[in-house]
Amino acid sequence: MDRRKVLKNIGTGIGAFTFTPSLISLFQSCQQDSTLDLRTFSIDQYSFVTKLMDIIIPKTETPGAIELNLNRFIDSYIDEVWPEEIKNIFLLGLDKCSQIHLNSNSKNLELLLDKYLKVDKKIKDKYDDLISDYEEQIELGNKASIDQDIIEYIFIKKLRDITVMSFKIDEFVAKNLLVYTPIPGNYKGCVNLQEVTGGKAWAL
Amino acid sequence: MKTSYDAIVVGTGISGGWAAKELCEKGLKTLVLERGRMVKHIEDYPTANNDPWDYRTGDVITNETRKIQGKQSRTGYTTTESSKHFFVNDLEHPYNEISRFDWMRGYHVGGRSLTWGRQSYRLTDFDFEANKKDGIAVDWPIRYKELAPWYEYVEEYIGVSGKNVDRPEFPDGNYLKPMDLNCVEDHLQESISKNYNDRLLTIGRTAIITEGTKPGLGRVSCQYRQRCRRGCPYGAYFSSNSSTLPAAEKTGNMTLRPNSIVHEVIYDANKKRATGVRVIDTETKEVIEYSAKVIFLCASTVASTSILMQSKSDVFPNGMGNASDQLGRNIMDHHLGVGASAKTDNFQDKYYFGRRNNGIYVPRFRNIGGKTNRKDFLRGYGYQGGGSRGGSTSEASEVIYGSKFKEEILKPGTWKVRLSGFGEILPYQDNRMTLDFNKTDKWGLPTVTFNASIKENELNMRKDMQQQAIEMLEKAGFKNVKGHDGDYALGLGIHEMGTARMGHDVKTSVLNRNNQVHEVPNVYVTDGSAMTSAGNVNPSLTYMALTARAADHAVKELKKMNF
Repeated sequence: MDRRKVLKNIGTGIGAFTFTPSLISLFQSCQQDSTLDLRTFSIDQYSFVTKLMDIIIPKTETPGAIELNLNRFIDSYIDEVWPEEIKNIFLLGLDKCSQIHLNSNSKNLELLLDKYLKVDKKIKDKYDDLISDYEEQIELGNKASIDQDIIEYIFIKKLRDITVMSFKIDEFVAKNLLVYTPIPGNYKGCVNLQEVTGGKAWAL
Repeated sequence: MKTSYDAIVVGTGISGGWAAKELCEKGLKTLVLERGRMVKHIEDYPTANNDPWDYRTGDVITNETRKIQGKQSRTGYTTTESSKHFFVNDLEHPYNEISRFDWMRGYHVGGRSLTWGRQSYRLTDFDFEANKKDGIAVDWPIRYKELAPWYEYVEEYIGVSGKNVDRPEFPDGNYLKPMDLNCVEDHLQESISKNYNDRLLTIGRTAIITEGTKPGLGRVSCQYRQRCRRGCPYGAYFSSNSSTLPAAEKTGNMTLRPNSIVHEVIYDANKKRATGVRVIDTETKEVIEYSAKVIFLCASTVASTSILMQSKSDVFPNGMGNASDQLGRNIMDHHLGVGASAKTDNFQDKYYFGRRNNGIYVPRFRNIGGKTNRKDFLRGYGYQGGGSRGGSTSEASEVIYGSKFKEEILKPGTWKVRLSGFGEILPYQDNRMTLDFNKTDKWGLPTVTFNASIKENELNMRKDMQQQAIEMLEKAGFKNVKGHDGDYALGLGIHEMGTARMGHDVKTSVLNRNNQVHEVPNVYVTDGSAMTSAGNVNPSLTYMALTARAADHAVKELKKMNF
């Protein structure tokens, strides 16, 4: 249960709203969970997102998205960075996907990812253009709407993008899995990839 | 504190820093006034060494920042967590928009010299002669040969890296070692040379030291960290804080006073001269008058023009030096956000070392005579941009998640290349800023209202800017070539200029050929407001050259006892 949502509901007060014992115990159980103190997701949403992120970037010989706490990171990132409208569309997409897949095993979750990430390139490009137009308008403070049929796609695509983004700017990843040079001291425009980084990308 | 000086300089940005340095070095006791807080070189660059993970959101602009710096965030790059402290709070410093106008400001010592794009180009006689030739607005009262030695002088002092190319539309300068092109840019350069007689691609000319040292506070060569906008601990790029202000300080002639909003130039109708300025101390709220023999307004285009507009008297009921009614009119910028981008599958085994905070430049190739002349628009544009190789994401459609995907995303992605146009905007009388004296800010000062837009000439030019970019990228054999033409509103180029233009005649311009207010010769305005036309190149270098030249003139006039 999302403690913040509960508190918000209490705050807005739906008329005669009293503290019944059951509500209080619910409240306490939330508080026990509050080490999480989620900002974007409900507990259910968070656990669904966690499962997907674990599939997108799993633990191998090196830590995966969940060991690196990237699920925590994106929970706070989305709340702090994304405009409200974009966050809401993302959460709508999440809820639509999780309705069917809340208790799915990882095989079925992989099928879910396949469904939206393996779409034909032309369709994908069309969707991506729609999304970027929409987001540009929102960021400019204008009103905009988006086709409801693609909100699952939006959720899956944006979840993967943000998982990748947060992975690459993670300190452990930057310093251990990518090549980190805070002060290069020099610039060379055209060098051999293998010789310079062993095929890895620069961290910065 | 003393209240009487030889000279007063208003503002500490690109122009103010230069005025301070030149006037102090020539022996004038100079009061330098800055409306914002003190920013000391290095000491006050708190984010200069931060990594993305030092921020909860990885150095991305947050909703909280967007709330208080909404207008400052319109560029999409100015208000990251690591640079937002060098841009103003829009709630504290409001302005009015009849049409959208993106006014990016930094109220602190150094101004926007800390956050500028550093691209440093000279105007040419194609620019200085353009208004006269086209019968547009008024003629520039100077020509290239008069400014060339001052370009030379400021380039030598600040350090500009770049390459000479021997083309009249892109004059050579006094350059430090050019930065490398990367392999994709090399390829595009070759392709453009092969396919076109009228154009070339070269490395950007940027005010970054690439060899040796330059005067100031220990200015040394670039370390290629690509963190310029946070302030450079090496002083590798030019800023007032690292270069001109320390030079002024060193003379012992400078008194620098931050937290001082100048809102009026005081005029003596008997002497027909300005006698000083009126200042609000932002900490004590006290109003103080300072006097001087000569005054340099270098507060930035909009701010210097606002000060003149507020300097009303019986002689100047519509603002100081405004007999022409041109004050606040003809506001220009460079229109941008149009061009093309592409990808290439080549050069997979190539990469770069270091982070070069500079791009490529394709100089203007339109309307410079003969076959280059166009019927559909006047003037021209240049391209900036370049090749880059970011991280890979979802390029490989087979691998979309899982352990293999995890390996893939640790490799560099495909090379991308982008050409982004910077176009000239004509001076239009009704593109203007005015003051709203009924809607005041927290100091009781009038707020600025903008009403300006690009018109047919610019819109026609944009079509060509997009088309030519697409064509050059296609001829180079790149794939996925895509044109773009984004939303542009004046100000987005952060090159606002022209609101107190130079000209021959007091009836049609505000400033004369030496940047003196026609009607008040001991007031010089040497920032962007002086620009008679915009040209198509980044303007800061021109402001520096104009300022150094005007300071030289002012000191000579003082010696002749003309002020």
